[in-house]
Amino acid sequence: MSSLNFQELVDQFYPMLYRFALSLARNDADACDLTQQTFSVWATKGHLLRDTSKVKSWLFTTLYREFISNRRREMRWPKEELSTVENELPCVEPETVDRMETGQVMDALRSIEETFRAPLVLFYLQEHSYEEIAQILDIPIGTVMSRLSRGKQKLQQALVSLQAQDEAGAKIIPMRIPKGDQAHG
Amino acid sequence: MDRNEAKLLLQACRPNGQDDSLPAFAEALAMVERDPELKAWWEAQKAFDRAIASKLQDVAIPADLRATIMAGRKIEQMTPRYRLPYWLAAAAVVVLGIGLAPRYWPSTTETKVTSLATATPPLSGVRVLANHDYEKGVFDYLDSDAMSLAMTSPDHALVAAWLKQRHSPTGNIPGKMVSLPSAGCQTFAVHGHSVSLICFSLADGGYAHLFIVDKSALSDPPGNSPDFQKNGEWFTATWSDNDHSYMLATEDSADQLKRLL
Repeated sequence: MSSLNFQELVDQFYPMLYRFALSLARNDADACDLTQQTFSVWATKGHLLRDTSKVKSWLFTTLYREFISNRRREMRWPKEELSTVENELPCVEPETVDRMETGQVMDALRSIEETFRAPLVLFYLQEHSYEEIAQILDIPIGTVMSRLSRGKQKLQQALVSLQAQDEAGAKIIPMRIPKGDQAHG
Repeated sequence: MDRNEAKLLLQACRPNGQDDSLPAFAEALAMVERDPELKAWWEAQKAFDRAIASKLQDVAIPADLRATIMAGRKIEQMTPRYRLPYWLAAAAVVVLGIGLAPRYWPSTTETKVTSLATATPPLSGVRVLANHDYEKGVFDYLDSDAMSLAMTSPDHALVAAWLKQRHSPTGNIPGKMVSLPSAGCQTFAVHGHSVSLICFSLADGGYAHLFIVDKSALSDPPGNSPDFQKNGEWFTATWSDNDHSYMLATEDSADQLKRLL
């Protein structure tokens, strides 16, 4: 891996790593820290990686491990079999998603349990195949598929909830404050 | 495969078409072509996935993140980040004991490499190393998970001082490498002989690893002119001066080594 230039590596991967970090960490500052930590680990251990084709997976794996480590929590993945899952047509139209703010979609993603969120975000970043996602998260391939399927259902439910909240909010008519009651300043 | 199984599989198929040719999805995708209901589901699913993926790409990256990462790298290069934890110090004592063991038990032909944060002077009675035992020890260490830099600094003087403090050989850095910043150093032992490792940061972002051992440790030390070899994925140059034997290793090329020497 020694042939890779640190600066080029940062330029190529930090945006996608930050997006993954943001979906895991739930706030900007922690996501920035996680991204930086990942490159910091690379700076000291990256030369041990011999296969340059694996650098992207290595970085995502490291970021995920740093996240787990930072949380100081034992993750116990419930074992899931590759089972048939009821797959209904998406109840949220793509056009609806297009109209939503990026922040709203991120909120929906972050409202999903981490077990489903991590594979889902890796899938939507479109940088990794299902096999690579399994390697990064250290879970079986069948589990990845199961979690992607259930995660998508949960995402749609979260989007529907957000949409319902928006519609309810739109019906509220803001009360006009009489000029005389406004604070001077 | 029934329709539900096909749906489960296809949910792991990226909407940008990257996975369409993977054998895992071949049967499900073939089924899509035969089953209009499944096809309608798949088209809707892909459209939904594309919409979410697109939103994820819209997430703004903090303007100062890149600069922060690069600045962090510079600070780390200047600051030793490794401190010997107490448990590792205790482990080193145990390892030291094991290092002494060859004095009392017959040695085997198996190469033993021990990472020592606090290296010791060569022990009297430690056998002289056959060259292949030494090289095997170095490559075992180079390829092992234990390989790490105990001290990181771009300053050669600090690196040399750190190694001397641990009675590990320092030798002479070849002329053209003097101007290269070091990434840091480590010391370890091969069959009881202290070996110094200094990593150099190359201009292209890669590394060159210089191993230094006392010349007297080797049964047949290399000559004064560099001898270039390829060992697995490593390109190496070996040579000696009056007191030390050196091995310079890089994964790049033999030409890279020649440029450095």
